[in-house]
Amino acid sequence: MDGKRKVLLDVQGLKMWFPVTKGVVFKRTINNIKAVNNISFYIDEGETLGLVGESGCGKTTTGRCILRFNTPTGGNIWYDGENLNQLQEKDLLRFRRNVQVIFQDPYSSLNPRMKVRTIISDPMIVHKLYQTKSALNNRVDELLEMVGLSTSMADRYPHQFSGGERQRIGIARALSLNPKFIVCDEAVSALDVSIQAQIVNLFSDLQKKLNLTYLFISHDLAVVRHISDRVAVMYLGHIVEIAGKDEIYANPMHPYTKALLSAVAVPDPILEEKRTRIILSGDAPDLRHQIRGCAFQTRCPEATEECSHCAMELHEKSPGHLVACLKV
Amino acid sequence: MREKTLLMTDKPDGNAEYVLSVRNLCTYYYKISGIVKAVDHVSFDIKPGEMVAIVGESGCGKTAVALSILDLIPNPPGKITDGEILFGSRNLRTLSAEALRQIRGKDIGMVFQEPMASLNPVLTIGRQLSEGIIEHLHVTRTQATTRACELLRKVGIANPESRLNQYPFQLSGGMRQRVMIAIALSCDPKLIIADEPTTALDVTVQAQILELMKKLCSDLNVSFLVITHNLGIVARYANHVNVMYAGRIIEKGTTNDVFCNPLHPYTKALMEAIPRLDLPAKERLDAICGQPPDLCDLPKGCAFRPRCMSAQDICAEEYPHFVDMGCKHLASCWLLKR
Repeated sequence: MDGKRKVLLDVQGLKMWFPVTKGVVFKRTINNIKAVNNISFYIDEGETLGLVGESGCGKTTTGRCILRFNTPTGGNIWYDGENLNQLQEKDLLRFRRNVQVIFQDPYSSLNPRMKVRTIISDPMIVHKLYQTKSALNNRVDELLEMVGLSTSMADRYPHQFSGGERQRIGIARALSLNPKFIVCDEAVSALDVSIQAQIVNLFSDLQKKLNLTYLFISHDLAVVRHISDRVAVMYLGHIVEIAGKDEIYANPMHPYTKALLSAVAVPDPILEEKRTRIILSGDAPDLRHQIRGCAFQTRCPEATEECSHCAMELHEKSPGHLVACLKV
Repeated sequence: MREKTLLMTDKPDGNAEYVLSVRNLCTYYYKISGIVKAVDHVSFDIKPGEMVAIVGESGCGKTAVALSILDLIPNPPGKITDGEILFGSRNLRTLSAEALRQIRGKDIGMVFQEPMASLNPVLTIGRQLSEGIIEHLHVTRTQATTRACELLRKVGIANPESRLNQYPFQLSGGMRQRVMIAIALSCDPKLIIADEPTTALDVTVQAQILELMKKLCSDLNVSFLVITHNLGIVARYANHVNVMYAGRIIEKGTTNDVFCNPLHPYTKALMEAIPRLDLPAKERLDAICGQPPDLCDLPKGCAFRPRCMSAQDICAEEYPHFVDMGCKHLASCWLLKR
């Protein structure tokens, strides 16, 4: 397509464990909640990796580790060739210029007491990007136009905007430092269908215009398919499958991916009547208890005895298509 | 003792029998900023054993419809100003508060969106299930507990005896929603109103809950009124669908008719705006431009006109009437000819 792209983000063996402690005076760790348990993936420059999974799978925690909101328990993350484990406090500022985030809830991610102009210029002031106020204001106007808002909106407060407009403000804020990489954490999930479509289009347009790289975290499989180049499916802290978007939706291999796709109803009643559905039994197991072998075996329609010895490692089954399952 | 409710005969048809018949319902909220016409001349019917959906985006008034049926609209500032809500042979709007209390939770059950917010966190599951049973069916606590156990089993909860003594926080989201459905079923209702019953749940759990609702619908002949913004689940599970926009139903018909042949520009635009797993991925989604209208300040004529690609002059003058395109597939749009 467009030659060999360089790898912008490389995650190797990422672990994020939260200790479960007992005792008040003498705290001791009795167990760990393995929110992210040894995952590896990479994202090329200019690419979008969709990270899908249900609640509790660890996708948001993965995003937070990349953003350094959490310090991982183990593993390495290389951003643009630099190992984030070796970042000092003074390097974080430089890092944050390149790696930004857009949050899910447009209502709580904007400070209600700040005008839009202040919200967007804040990061630029912190990073001392502009010397004069007029240069700063011009940049704010430019960003508002880029996200499809009128410059007259800069002097209003967040409560005066709708959900979709507030999300656009959040996007403008994320773009203000000219980042290269943006973590979109359920960025369109709180929006109505008709507004979602506008924002998804905006993401695509901005990516082409500014050569952005996205980690698009979502539980909505249809939106992820639309916006991503490759998709990774997570379950209980593990990546169970990664493939190109056309491949994974046309040819899902892991039983969990198949169940997930089967569970999504499409707005075509005639097709829906004919589809075979895989209905999983029970709920995802509690992460506070140790799980031996494959995390999915308690709900998997194809599980057998050997699955309790499975290490859940990804293996390449066809070019670019990796699956963590003994049965495939 | 449960009283038998007579099913009402539909006057226009003469033959059809409906569990619920809503006619010209109007629910307005009187606020300082103006009158919010949350529900404006809404009519629809539900037959026994049928699943009917009301679909629309947030702010379109679909939850207000559900709350109006059960007279749960906060007053002030809300008020049902017009219309009839016929449940069996009775118009719920003419009943006293006491008579409505007898119906609410007994003959009409309700399942809300957030199970954690709807269940009392300090009472056990067994206690919450038994509450309605004792109140409406006048049985002893032991009999109520036995029935509660049966209900939990019916909604697919394993080891129901142990669950009765548990608290909501000890259950997962899917289990809590099953408990909500069990509570709604507890007094053998004719109708269950489910307001976004699966929105707060994971996709795989959503599928479980919806399959359960569908099974109950056919096994127990309970009708469901499902309120949702998810067109996929409507296509999969509902028999009839009503599409709402800015407080009004703008299209209604069987699910097959509305999805395979959408008539109203809003319905068509909504179908185009959704990313679809069953169709090839598009380069760009066909987004609907603009924003949903402010219900305090609706434009003259058709509320969708400012966002409609096919708007004509008459659309700004007068609100379009319903046009029946056959097989009870109706839409309110000036572009349609009978």
